[in-house]
Amino acid sequence: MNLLGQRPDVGEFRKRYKWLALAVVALNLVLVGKLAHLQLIKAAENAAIAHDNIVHKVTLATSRGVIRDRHGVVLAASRESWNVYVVPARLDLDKTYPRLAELLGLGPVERATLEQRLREARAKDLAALKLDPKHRIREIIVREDISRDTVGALETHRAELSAVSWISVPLRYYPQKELTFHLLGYVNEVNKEDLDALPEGQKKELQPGDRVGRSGVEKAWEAFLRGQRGWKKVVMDARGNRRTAKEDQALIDAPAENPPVPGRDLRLSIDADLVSTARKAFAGQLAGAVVAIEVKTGRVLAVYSKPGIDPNDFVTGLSQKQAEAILTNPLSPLTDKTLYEAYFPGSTMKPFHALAALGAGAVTRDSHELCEHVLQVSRTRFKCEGFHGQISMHDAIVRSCNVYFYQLGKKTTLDKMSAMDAEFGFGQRSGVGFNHESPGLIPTTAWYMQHYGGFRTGFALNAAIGQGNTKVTVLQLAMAYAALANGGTLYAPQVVQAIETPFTDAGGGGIEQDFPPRIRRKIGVDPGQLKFVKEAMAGVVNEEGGTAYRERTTKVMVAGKTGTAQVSRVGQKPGIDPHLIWYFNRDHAWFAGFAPYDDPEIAIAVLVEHGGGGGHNAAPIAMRMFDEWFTRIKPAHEGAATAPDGKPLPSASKGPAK
Amino acid sequence: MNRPSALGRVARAREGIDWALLIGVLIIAVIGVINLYSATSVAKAGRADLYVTQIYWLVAGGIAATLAAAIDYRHFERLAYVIYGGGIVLLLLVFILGRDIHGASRWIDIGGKERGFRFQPSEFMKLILAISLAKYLHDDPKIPAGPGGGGRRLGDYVVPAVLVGIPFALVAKQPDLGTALILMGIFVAVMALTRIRWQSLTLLVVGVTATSLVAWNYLLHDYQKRRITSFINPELDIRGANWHSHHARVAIGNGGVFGQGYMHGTQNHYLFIPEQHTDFPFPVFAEDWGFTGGLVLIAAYTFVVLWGIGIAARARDRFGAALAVGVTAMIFWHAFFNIGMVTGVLPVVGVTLPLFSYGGSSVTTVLVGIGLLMNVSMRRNTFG
Repeated sequence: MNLLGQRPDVGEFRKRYKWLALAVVALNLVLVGKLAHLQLIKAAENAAIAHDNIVHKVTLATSRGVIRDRHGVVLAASRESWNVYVVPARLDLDKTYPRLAELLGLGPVERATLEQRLREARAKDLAALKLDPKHRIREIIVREDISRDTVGALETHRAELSAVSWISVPLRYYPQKELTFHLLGYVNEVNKEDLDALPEGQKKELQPGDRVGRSGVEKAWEAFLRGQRGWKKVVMDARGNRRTAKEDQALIDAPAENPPVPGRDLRLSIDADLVSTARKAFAGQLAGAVVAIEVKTGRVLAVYSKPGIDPNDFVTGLSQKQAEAILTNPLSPLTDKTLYEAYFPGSTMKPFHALAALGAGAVTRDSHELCEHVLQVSRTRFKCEGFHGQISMHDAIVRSCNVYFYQLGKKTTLDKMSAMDAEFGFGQRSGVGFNHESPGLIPTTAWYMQHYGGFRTGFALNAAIGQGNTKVTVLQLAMAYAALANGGTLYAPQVVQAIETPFTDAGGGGIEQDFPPRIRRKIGVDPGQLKFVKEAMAGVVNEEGGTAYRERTTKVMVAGKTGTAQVSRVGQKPGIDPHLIWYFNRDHAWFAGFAPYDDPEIAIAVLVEHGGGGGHNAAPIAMRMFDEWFTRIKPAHEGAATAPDGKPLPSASKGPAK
Repeated sequence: MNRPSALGRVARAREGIDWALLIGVLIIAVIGVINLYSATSVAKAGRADLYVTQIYWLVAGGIAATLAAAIDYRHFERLAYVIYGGGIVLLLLVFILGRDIHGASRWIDIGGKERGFRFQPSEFMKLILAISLAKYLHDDPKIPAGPGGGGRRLGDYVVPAVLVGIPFALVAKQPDLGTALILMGIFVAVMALTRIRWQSLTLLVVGVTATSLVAWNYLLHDYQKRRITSFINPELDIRGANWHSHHARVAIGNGGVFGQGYMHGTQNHYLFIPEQHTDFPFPVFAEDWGFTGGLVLIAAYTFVVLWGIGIAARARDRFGAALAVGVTAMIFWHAFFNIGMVTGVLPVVGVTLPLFSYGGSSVTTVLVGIGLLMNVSMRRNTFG
């Protein structure tokens, strides 16, 4: 009897229900088991993945240190710029990209190339994600330094720009433009080689998009200027949009931030005003270099190399056209002519050789030589610029008589002269520490034996007047003249006077480390002989007949020496109009000197490449600098004790007392 | 047999609404709406109030279910093949009027695309299949004699196989692998009620294996194959087919024991769960409520399914029993495939979670199915 009143034919099914029920329970237990696996056993792991999905570390840029001159004038700083980034793996190339391209005002070619780049990056990231779900997808920069208007347009259309972000980054800025090009160098973006070259353990210090110093002070002091990047955790959804509401922030675990360490500021010994004066004085010349040294400390007051380039062009990257123009310029704008290149010094070497001769007792102060314009030594004729007749050492320096110095060289010998040159720092790197300083060359007998297979007296004669194989840098010459001026103390040139902590809201703005003058050596010269030579150098400028007499300044008493250095003749130079080749065959013009004569403060060396005669072409530049230094620039800062920084710069107001 | 016994009278006194079924279904529906609110809270305007629409659908589905329960199921039995024919016609219409979504045409629009209403005939086909299979078993001339009296041969399954085969082929062609699988699941469950010879069963197993191989090589779409391979080797394709299920699993795991709290699941909140209102509502729920919540939900489904089997066991006739099993199988397979797919037990096939997934066709179908169950339950003691 069927209690439920079922029809008998349902009997076929009866035995099946319990199996069906059992199957249902069994299958659902599988689900429960899997649920337990995910939520109980693997809970922590999954929670960690979920957390990593949304909490991302973004790097916080650090600010590169500001470089100022000795009075606080900003030479290199950072300004705000906006860059546009895209997460290619999350970008909608069909909808978002055209909108972005339109807002950025991309041309059709640019638009296509960028789209291609984004497509490739996207494919790469998606492929990497397939292999590794934890792969960090990349954000790439699509546009740098966009205008304020563009930033505004992007802000307005923020809702349509999923996976696009625009971030303010500091960009290096050189307000003095090409004036400080060789001294400061420039920064630009790191490349793969830079990143690969980083030692293990410091790999995180640089990232693609970072900029590093490439030359000059920017490169030499990179470690201090750069600072250390920090990071901050942010919440981002699956579409790559940042979430910033309070409840989003609550998901961020500690530590939430590692603040960046700002780069250190540098206080240079340079006086921007003096450099600027050098540029003005150089207006009539095509190429050359100036170095001005503080005589009593060896600090560098001015370096200027012409022609220069606006370093700001390098920061965002040169165009192909700009790069070509720079590389093919026959005046070599990239070369730092103050120290990278060494030149024949010509007669500017005569004071050192006079000291060598006097010190060796080869000549006396009163000994005379006969100048008949030409000196015949065996079959070679050695020439003088003039016909001086019987001439003393004093007059030989004042009028730059070569014949006197040929005889002096013969009597003193090459090695005694080169020993004195070496005492004054020639033939060695001065240790300024940037731009691959050239050591120059001071040949000795041994050197000639090695390179010429023998020694002839003529080598000594040529060396005596700074020709032959002698080569010096403008910086070496300035340092040596400073040593002459200060009575025989050779300093190491210093460009950076102090490292300062950046002035921020949290404080700072003080000196972290300053650099006292560094003496390289005390040169063993007899004070009387030195005084005698310096008197002659004063005569060069102040005695009628002196080679720089006509260019002298009346504002301050200058002592110095002109030089006219022959150059290696060239018949042709690649890339140069043959009609202009005469320029490159013209002599280099030199003037080196110091002032005031009685108590020297500043030494200046000027080289005018292919300038012709030193007296006419190089001396006026130095004179104008001396002139302005003593009448205008130095007096402007006389009140330094009460107002350390003459310039009304907010960041400099807390600068150290000079 | 013709006179009601004393016990029969007691049973008739309890007759009427199957409260256990109703309450079980109501619990799932209420949790479903609450969860839908959480799931769509993160979506942009226009989707955020989907839960309201879902309530409308539940009400509409409830009315349809009441009708389905009120009409004596013997009318469905009588009209079964007519209904079946209508269902097939609608499926064919999809190919003509069908509307493309994600590369598959599953929908028919009624009254314009903007303000009109659209539905998926394949959803209703599941119920229609259950009705027709029940009808076939009901009218089956070959009811085996009493216990131990032999079993069915494979030849006896040709008609039901054709009944499922036609809609299966049409739905798979759309292509809608999920619904096709559900149709097959309903067929298997209903046929499991019958007694089959063991020799025939062996032959069947061999045959199915061989067919699968052929299907793999010639019939399946690439994206369907990809889903299956990526299920077997999940590391192969995280971003593509596996991206969904990867983040769904993370969401579930992120729930832990007690969940992140209602509307606080981060995977959902930060948009890592795609299709969170249709195919992936369970990860949202499991992330919000944790293992505890998941257990309660699975228990609720299990209860309704077991109760459905109970209704079949007590059904008055073969049609009622088979229909109840068919409808119950539909609900069970939906829940099992959906939760299985999001937890990673099964490959990703687009199958909705009954009363949790948003969608008019889905909700109405499930509720009408429940109505049919109620119908069978209410009429187990009706005579005639």
